[in-house]
Amino acid sequence: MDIPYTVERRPDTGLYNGKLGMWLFLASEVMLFGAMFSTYVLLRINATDWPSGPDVLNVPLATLNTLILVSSSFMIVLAWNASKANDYKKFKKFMWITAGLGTLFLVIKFGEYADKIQHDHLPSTSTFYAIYFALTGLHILHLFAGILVCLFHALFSRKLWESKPEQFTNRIEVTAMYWHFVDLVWLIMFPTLYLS
Amino acid sequence: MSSTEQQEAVSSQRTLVIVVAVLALVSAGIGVATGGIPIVAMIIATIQVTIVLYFLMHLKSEKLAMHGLTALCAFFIVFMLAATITAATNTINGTEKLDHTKPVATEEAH
Repeated sequence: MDIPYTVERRPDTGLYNGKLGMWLFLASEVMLFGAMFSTYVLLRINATDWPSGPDVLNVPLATLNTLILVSSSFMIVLAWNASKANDYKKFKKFMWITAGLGTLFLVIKFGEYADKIQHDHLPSTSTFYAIYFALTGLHILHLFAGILVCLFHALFSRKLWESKPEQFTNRIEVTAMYWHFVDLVWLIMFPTLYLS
Repeated sequence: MSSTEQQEAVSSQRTLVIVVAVLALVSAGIGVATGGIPIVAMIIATIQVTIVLYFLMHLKSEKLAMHGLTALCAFFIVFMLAATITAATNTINGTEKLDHTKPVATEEAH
């Protein structure tokens, strides 16, 4: 028996199963990050002394990371377009570039972490560093998961592309949605932590 | 979708990604130059998020139900932040701000 609406859209929601599931998952992610940002606000309001982001964090590196993540978002759009055009070689290339840019983001972020740890700026140092490591750490976990999914598609998706191309394209679209969400969270995190 | 339409879609998405990147640079520039103005940075971030959500995540082409879900999420965030700020500043009905530095009252020894 075939599962309905894996490819065609449901008439009521206008979405196929995977996409509806992803929207609901992202809604739950909003709750998670929303709680974290609320914690940040609560800590900041109650703090007697709160450092200015540009004074204690590396803004040029974070800006570079923002540009890398935004570029990776465009790369995954190109990968999705290539999958729609049935160009598997191009799809694979853009998927690798997306995963590569994500990894570059992580490398830069870990460099930043190393610098903080070297200067004894640990989560236990102050509430600012506690929430800084918690928020960016949670984001890193999400990005890492996204990289793994991209690598999975780049390495093991040929069979699905050959047998069920429409389902394959839908999977890439859903992956792209998740990747854009991770990008979106960073776009909020960047000014919150680094520029205020 | 035809090849030409696809090319146009990619071209418009490229433009939007460039806009998001330029806004990030502007935000960083203002942040460094002024030492950080949260309001300006958050307004720019909101514009960026709207672009990503509507055009890259294709929310604009979804049915009303998905717009409702997004609105619910936005309401949740705003409500939670407002509740946090209100509770932290403790301005409900003009009550005074809590003094967190005071030690917790202990039972007097008999």
